[in-house]
Amino acid sequence: MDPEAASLIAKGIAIGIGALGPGIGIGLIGAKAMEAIGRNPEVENKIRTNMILAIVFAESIAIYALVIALIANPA
Amino acid sequence: MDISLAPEIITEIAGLQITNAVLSAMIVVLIILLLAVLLGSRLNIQNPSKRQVLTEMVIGGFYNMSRDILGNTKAQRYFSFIFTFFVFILFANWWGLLPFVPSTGIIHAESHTESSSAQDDHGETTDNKCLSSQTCVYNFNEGEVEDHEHITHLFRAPTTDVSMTLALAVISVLFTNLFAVREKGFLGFIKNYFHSWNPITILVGLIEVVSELGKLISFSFRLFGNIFAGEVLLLVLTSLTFGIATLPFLGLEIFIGFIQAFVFMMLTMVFMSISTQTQSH
Repeated sequence: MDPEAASLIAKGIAIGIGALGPGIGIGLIGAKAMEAIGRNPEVENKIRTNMILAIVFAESIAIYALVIALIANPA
Repeated sequence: MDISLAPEIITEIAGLQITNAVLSAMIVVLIILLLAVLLGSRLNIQNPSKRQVLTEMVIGGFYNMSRDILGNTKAQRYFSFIFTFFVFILFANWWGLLPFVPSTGIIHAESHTESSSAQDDHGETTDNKCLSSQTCVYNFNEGEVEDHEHITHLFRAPTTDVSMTLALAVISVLFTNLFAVREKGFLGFIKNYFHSWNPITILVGLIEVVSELGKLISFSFRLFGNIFAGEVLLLVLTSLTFGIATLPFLGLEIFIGFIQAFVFMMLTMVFMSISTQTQSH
């Protein structure tokens, strides 16, 4: 297998599998945040701020995978 | 038009290489200074102008949020430091979305022998040449740039440069620890990591120190990955469709630029509040 083909497959696998976990994680965070807002609509601002914070933590893992996918070139 | 991971070097002044990211960062700082001078002039307590009211709303909103997280005295001391992160990263992210930024550059001819010898491993010449001197992510030539020419971009969003985001992360993590030393004294700062002195807590302390380095990587790559991926996305979309179809993605990028600046500021605040916590539970 020549290096370019291998690197293309590697990029695909990296971002494909790397986005699974964060996707599920962000979905869970959003679901719990919706539940919390439904229970206590007054503190919606605080809940939303904390939700964005947690979502960004989860998304950084996907970003790590994306960076690997971007830089994996045949040297 | 090729997208390279490393920013391209424009000039070299007294041994220091000025890249397009550095130039853009300097321009962004000038813009922020101009804005600060404009907004901070002619302030009036009794009769504030609209511009003053708006500025006070924005900065006051962030200050209240930092007071929630840090507490009154610490917010007063450290808010200006933390808010600078937000303002700089916000303007640096948004700079990359301005229309002239991806396209302004200098075209200069490239010698044939250098580019063809680096690519001929299959015995066929391809049109998409990535120059051997930089890591190319995507390469296509369109418009005025011929195949044997090479365009050096003059501007680039500063936060698409790993060096810049790494520098911001280093400043954030370093000053979080320095402020902990300032608030708690040196011994109190050591207690942040090593609570007591038996073999288990020493190991835990070492792991905590390593996780500080992990914060460095996390800060820098989160910011870099988001903004760089956004730039690549916009460029690839522009090559696939016509200009107006990238409008929703430009909106997304504006939003992401704001969110990443906000998150950098929030995380710095939260880590600072954890590390400078003086009262025991």
